[in-house]
Amino acid sequence: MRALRSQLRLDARTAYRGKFLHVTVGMALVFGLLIRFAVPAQIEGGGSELIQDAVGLKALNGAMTQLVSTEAELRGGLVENPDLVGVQFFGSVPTPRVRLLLQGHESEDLRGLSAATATRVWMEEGVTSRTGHVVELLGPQVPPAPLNETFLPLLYGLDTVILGFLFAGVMVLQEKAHGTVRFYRASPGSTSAYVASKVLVVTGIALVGAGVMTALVRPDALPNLRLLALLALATASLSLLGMGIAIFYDNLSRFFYPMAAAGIVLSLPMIRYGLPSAGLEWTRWIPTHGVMFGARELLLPAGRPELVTTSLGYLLAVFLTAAAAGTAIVHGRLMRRI
Amino acid sequence: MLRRILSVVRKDVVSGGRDSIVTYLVISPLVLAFGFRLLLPVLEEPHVTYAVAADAPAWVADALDSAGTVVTLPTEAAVRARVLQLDDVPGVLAGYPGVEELPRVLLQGNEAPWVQATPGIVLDAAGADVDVEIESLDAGPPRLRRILASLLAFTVLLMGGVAIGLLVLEEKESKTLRAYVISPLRFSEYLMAKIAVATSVSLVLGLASTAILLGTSLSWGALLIASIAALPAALLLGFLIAAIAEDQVAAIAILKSLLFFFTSLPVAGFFATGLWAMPLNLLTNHHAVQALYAAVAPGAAVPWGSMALSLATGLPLVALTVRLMRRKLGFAPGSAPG
Repeated sequence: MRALRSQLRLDARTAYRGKFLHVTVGMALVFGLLIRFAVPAQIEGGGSELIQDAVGLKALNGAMTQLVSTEAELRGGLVENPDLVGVQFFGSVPTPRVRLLLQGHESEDLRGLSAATATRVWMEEGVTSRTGHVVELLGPQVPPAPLNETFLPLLYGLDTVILGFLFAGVMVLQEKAHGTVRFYRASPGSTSAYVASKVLVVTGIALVGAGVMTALVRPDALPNLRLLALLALATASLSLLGMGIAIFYDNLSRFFYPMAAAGIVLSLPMIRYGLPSAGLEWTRWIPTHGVMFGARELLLPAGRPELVTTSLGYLLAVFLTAAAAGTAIVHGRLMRRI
Repeated sequence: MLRRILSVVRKDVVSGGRDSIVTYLVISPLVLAFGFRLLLPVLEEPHVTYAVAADAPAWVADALDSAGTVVTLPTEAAVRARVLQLDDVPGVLAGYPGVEELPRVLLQGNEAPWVQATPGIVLDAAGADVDVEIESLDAGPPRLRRILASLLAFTVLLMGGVAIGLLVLEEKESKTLRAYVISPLRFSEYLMAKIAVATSVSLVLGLASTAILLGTSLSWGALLIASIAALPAALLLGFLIAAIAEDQVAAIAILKSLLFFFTSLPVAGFFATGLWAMPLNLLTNHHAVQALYAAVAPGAAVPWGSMALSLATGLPLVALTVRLMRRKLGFAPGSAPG
């Protein structure tokens, strides 16, 4: 225990002198202020279609659509914004007509969806189809969360947790470069004290940053023990991973690209977070996935409380595995090697 | 003079190659570009997957297949279980007994509003007698692909700068820098060597990664000029690391704080309007990304304007950083290497 305390003091001093705390809190302030004041809670958008309505369709009257009055305006608008699909409504019941002006890069699915959407508009004028449909909800209807607040769980995954990986890895590299490890080997300190100390310091710093962000964006969510547990488990796990990988390198230049690669892989769940329709189910095995989705359910409930429990369970398993593997690697590669 | 510059360049290449840095430096951006290319279809377009029960009327699967991907599942229970998974996949079942032709759409209730609306729109429109014509404008890649390509190219160009910063740091730690300082090598020669390595590596990899993402039908001249516009930002980041970081811990702290401003603020340039957009005009990284964005358009002209703005906003900062670097590295009279 005394060895751990003494190593903790050393690591905390190294982290403080290396400005880890300053940078983490500074960036957390920047992120928090941006989310709170710069990112809007809701985007007023006109959709992805530019519409010319030569009919005066009821469904478009007062709708949140981007309407133009002439074909020249329609074509000009499509050149200006290559993400838009152009839709022209003309004809009349019983010969309703639609022309879709596509940019050329759209998939068959998007063409089909655009055609169906335009057809659906005509149905308000009395055009009939097959049978319609009925909707059955399996959970409560959840209103969309404020856009700016959805960035908070995302940043827990992309910033807070990944910090653990970076900082712990670099602390090991630094000690290898300065030869501090040799002195530690000669001391009575154990491998587990060496590892635990770094994990605790780095996780503590990352949690301070997460606390600052949360206090700025969602002060009402604090304190939250389950959120704390999610972040602590994930950050500690990735600190262990960072240490386990950094041990195989001698300096930051060599560690930089594996570090960047790990950062990219750990960021992948953000695609599923932003585009839940995209699938990418396999990303749920990446630890940052549990953080993003678990934290979102805690802060912005969407009727999936079991997500928090499953994320906590998974992250606990990851942490235990990482602790065993990380300690074994540090012991084998660092403590027994002269 | 040239011989001394080439000798430093050779040393950088040899030591980089020995440490696998060159391998990582070359492979990482290319892998990143391949990864982006694989993910592009997911990112570029809204796409919906529908879980359809095997006993649903055949026209249901046909209609949904025209506007997304249909997964047929054997039982109602399987469809319900699929809908309850984390991603946004609506389910469709046959109608209730007696009205089998009226399909039931199953939703969790927490899907994005457009995902909730899509199956109903497609099913309602199926069989409606509306004449839909399609005209393709062949306008080239979507805006998001160009945004991603320009951001990827910029990030790759930055990595060249970071690599140089880390190489200088290694020279500090290994005391190679002291040998340079007391040798006949002048600071200008040392600097030229570093710029030559950073520039050549950055340009080659930036162009290669863009080609992987967008194909080879690019305006290469425009892209080369736009890449040159990004060099002040890359050199600025590398030289800041070289000048300020005294050890690896400090280097990672600097990287952590600066990378956000270097890579994230240009993203804001694509979305910010009005007052929010004005400060971006002072940033070399914003103009660099805008130059790259213009250069990856089909048949792009050389983005001279963005390039001039990037150089005008970036070179004074590079000059200031070079002065700081000269002092910090011990090349200035009366200074000592860090």
